[in-house]
Amino acid sequence: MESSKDITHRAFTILAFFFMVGTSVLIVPAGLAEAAKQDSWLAAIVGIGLNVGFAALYVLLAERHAGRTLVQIGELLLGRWIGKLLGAFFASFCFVLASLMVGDMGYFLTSQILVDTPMEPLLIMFVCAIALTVRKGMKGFSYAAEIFFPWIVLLLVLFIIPMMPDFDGRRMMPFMEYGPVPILKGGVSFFAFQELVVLLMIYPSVKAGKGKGKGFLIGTALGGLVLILTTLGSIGVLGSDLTANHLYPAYTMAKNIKIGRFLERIEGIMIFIWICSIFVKITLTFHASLLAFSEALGVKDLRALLWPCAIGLVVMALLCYPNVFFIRKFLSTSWLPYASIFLVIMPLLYLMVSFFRGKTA
Amino acid sequence: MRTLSLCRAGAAVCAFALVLLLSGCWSRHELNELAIVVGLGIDKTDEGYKVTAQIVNPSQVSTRNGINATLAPVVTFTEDGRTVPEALRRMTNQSSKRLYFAHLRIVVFGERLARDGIAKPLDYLSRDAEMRNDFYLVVARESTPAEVLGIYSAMDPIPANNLYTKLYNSDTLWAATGQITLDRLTIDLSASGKSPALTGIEIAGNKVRGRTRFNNQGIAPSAVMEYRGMAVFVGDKMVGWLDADGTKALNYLQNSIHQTLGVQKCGENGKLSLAVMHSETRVRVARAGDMPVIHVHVRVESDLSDLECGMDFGKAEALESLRKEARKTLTQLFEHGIEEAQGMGADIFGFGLEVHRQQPALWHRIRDWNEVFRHVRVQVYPDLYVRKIGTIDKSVERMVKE
Repeated sequence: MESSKDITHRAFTILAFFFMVGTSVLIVPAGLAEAAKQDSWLAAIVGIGLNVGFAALYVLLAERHAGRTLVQIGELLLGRWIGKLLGAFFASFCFVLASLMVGDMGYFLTSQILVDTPMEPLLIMFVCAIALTVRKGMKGFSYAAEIFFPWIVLLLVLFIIPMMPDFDGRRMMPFMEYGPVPILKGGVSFFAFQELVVLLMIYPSVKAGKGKGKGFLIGTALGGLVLILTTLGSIGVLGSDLTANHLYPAYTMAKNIKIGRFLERIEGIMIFIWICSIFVKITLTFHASLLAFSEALGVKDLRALLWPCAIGLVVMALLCYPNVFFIRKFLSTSWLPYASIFLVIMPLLYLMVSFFRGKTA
Repeated sequence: MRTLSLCRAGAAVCAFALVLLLSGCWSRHELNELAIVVGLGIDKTDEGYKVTAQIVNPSQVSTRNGINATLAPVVTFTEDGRTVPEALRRMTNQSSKRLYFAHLRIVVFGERLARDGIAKPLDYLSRDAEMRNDFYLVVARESTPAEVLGIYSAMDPIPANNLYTKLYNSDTLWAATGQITLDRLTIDLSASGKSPALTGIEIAGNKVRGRTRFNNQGIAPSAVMEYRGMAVFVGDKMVGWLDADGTKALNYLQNSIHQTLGVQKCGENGKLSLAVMHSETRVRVARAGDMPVIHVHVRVESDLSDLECGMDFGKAEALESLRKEARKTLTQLFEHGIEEAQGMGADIFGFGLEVHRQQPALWHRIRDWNEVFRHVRVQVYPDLYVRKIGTIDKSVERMVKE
């Protein structure tokens, strides 16, 4: 893990894009449709708007204290002890998030494709790949993301365009049937699934310059666009009732892809979108949690934490995911209050203190 | 030096460990271990379900080794179970291979099950990961699903494939059937404001001979599986059958016509056929007091298919009178279909959806849409355009006379 400060702006934009798309593109339309019915797409726009807004706040905070990670900013602003304590909490948040996503991936693969496969070996292999990636450092990883990016875009195009003939705009009607409240509710809980604040841990490793913050926002907006289109598509193709009742509406839609009568059954290829983006997101989050732990605990070399935490990731994923019912309930009721501590309260607190104490603090 | 060789040994062990993975993954299923299910029949028994699976007999379908005419191209197994998955698992007692559902083409419900409710068996079809949603669902008419799936088919040796393409073609060319897939059906079932309808399948001809390979030995098959009308549902329970005209009206009114053909009176005792090439339906919901009033505009574009009268379309009045006649015929067709559906209290056209979309305030005051639908006023406004007349001008009949 060299602290080489040369993740390029373009690579960072792409990382932010993947970070937005990862996991959400699979599961989010269902939750949105449950909250906002046929207005889900509006809720998605609200959620993306919130994301871009908060991303701008994060950039503001990070640029005020350039070269420091979120944990270091906390230490600087609130003093060593409180800063480190909050940093440790943040590290645990990233760790839980990473393990939840590992569990997401495992449950998705074993309930849709590899039905007979026990989950443990899948998780172990996946986490091994993640740990090796983290070990090699974020710079090379960011290049890898750049290589994946055009393929993902190609697959997304291949995913979205064949849906158009099945798309029925009338399924969006009536417009705002239950008023703005469910839309806002849906949008807010949607926002809590894109934990962009995690990116503040690698923000200092990105080459300094004007394009850095812009890249963050552009990546967020582009990823958001994909999420909006997916939500729009699920409502227009499946209708809100079916979208809400499917665990993975996007995958269900992918099963419908048909180009002419010859290019069918390509959902197996589409899985690449989800596995690739979730891989990027988990890697970034896991790296962030290690970095936050090491900074909070004063560990010099990340590698000392790497493998113990990686094993912990698998165990935690299995612990967090006793069954699908539990996780659905957890995500719909507990995740928003828990995540907003770190997504909203912590950055806002830091920002306020930062303004109060002045730049140099 | 020693550390280097240790390192190498470690690498070698790792490389060999990878070989273990080469034996494949848990969920692998070799093609020769799979029984590819192409058709599934589900009917109700007193205890639960009777499930029939039609499985491809691969050696009879591949042409490479030449076909042994004494063996059937498919095999069907029938098994009882308290639930559908139980019956399918129990079927392993009969099948030598593992049942594989990703290539399922058609699901046939028994009428008894349909009248009792199809929601329960549908759960398994939607929940199972192997099931896709590109297969069609139909209801067996005057026979059981097991009988339907036991008939030899003409042309396509795999009966389920035959049923699949037959439904596709008849719906796109003739429009007296409906190709309903699992997601379409579940969308309709979950919507309040649209009742589902599934095409009916019956065995026409000699049922007994149809079960044997002699079925296709005559040039005219002894028995043919034939689509006829559609089963109408209220909620998930079937309430009655719609005839061919009713089904056509349904396809027109829910805007799912690809092509069809209509016959029109022409002149004194002549006839002409119009091939419908395009049809576009718009539903407008107005309100009269507490009741919705539904206006359906149907714009039909057609080509002349044959002309069996002496009508001269060079004259503008001729075309005008043809259009007038056609509007009358279409109005009759639609009104007849609507009446039939209203009699059953099943809004198969999805007018309720439009009421919901266009008059949400009114919709929320309606408790039981299907009851209201029985008395709703529906106005149809068909309009017909004739675009092309084929490759000749005057009718052949007229040429003969001249």
